[in-house]
Amino acid sequence: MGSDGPVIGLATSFTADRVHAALSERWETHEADFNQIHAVCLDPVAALGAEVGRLVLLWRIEDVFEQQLFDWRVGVDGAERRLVEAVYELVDLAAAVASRHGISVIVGTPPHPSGLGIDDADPRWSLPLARLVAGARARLVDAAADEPALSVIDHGRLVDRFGAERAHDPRNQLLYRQPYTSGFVRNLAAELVSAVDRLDAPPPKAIVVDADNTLWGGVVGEDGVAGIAVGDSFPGSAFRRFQTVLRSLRHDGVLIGVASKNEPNAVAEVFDERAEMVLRSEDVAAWRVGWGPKSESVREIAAEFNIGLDAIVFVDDSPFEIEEVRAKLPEVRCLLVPEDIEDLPDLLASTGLFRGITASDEDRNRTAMIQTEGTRRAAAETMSHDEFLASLDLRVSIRRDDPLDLARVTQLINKTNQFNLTTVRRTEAEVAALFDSGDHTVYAADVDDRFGSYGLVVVAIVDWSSDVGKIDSLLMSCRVLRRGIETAMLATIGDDAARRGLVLRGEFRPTRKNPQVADLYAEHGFERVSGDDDASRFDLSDPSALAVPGHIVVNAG
Amino acid sequence: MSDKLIALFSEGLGLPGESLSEETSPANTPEWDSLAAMNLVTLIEDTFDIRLKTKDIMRMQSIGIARTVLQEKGVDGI
Repeated sequence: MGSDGPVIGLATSFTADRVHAALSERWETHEADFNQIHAVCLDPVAALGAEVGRLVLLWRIEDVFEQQLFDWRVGVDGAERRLVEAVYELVDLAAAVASRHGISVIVGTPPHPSGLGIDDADPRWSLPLARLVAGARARLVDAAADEPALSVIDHGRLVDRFGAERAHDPRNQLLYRQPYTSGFVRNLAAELVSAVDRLDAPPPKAIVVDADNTLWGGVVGEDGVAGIAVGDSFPGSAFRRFQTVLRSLRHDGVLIGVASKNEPNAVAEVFDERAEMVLRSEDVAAWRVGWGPKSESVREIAAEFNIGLDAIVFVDDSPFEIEEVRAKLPEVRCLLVPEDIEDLPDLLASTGLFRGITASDEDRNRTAMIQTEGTRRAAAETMSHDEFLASLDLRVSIRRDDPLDLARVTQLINKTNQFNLTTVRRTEAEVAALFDSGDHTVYAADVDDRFGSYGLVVVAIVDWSSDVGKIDSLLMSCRVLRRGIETAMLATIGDDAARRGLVLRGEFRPTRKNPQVADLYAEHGFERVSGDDDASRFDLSDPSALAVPGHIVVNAG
Repeated sequence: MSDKLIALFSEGLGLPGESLSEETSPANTPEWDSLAAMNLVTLIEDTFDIRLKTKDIMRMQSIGIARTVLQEKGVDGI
């Protein structure tokens, strides 16, 4: 796995193991924690590492905003407005990452929500959802027009094109939180690789086309001007369509050259005399019609255009010519006219080579932004990390020794691996005993913010039986990382320790999966007092010094 | 002559074929985690051109049981 170019960070709202694998074949790729799109946008370095030079974000409304979608579906007051706000806010946040952090970002458009049991054909839901998806797409596209480091991959359109039914797999979604069939995952992965390639490869500036059996059917030297096929009936219609594509590329600013092995006048005659031609002489910026090698013609055209060979796409129907050009001019991107001529009109689009060429300012049509309220929140672009955290309206509810929490607390204790300081596993009976024990407090915290309710996501167990308050366990679900919630929990424990007049002691036991919390206690002002390979201990002599972060409201009873 | 199913599991788990047996299962093989399970399902479906139901997947708790399930589904040479 040679590293060719900047390290890629991949963040998705669904299990994207295969996408990660496809990217990893070409570039070093780090994967963020599952469904942490907001956290990644707020702090890509913390989520993915400082080496990340480009970020790929794929997200689905039904993953990130599951709660809000549900609220809207069941008629909770104001839910639709909140959903729209939340979606647009995430779009703005994602769009701002490029300028705020100086890295290239590829953001996916959100697909039309699927697989929730919502009837796609029911206009009560499909129409408002279509409007929301279209609005998000338009907002992203507009942001990309202003920010060169931001590009958009139309994930939503890829699903539509593949066919929503063919693309989705309810079994994979329910078993692995991977919404797609393996067929669509392959498609998505290939498109992503192609999108990243386009970041590196210079956009083609010119397309050089052959004439016979490329611009028209037949050979003008043999069939004559009247005998070649270009027009409304097949196969002439396929060639006409291809010419239409070339005309639109020309409008986009791509230069067109013709390189044909013919008598000099033969090609010009077709352009002049066949009214069915869509491409006109004035669309062609350079001509090389003669009998020399094609590679020479392409080379000369590049020189005439004053562009590098790597900025040229060459299209010819002859495998011999393609090979000749490829061999002599390896930087030129060569395309063979498909054997099935009905595939010719789609040839250029299918390679994606010309995708994403920015037209000049004068030509560019601003997409009309579909919004349900107000203008784009410029605030998200200039908001600092702290301001954004404050806008989250984070609420943490901490309970002590509440037997109703037993099942979920036990579950978290046994399945949390990464944000887990000591990774002590316990059976339900053992946890129940701790609930009952007068010497221990089992803390359980629920978290809510503006985007939804996360449920019970933090657990701490403190042992008061000795002369220090020992934090036996401290663990947190990866769904609420990087919001300062662990600090709120520690502050609450700190208050309890201070009330008992005890020093607070934390322990870190390293495992393969928890290196991210190695410095947690040190970061909170604890002092390292002892340690070996298996465990390090940290003491805080003034536990009341721990404070709940300003952007969090704690209800600790 | 290599066994098709062992070869498939070898690829899916990233382990040499010689280290695998009919008893290989998530319980005794740390490499067989939920991510590997997902990849194994895809490998099996693509290699044998079949579709597994959730209940098939839930049953396949060892290579031996996977073999039985695939035989029941009429896969050749398994």
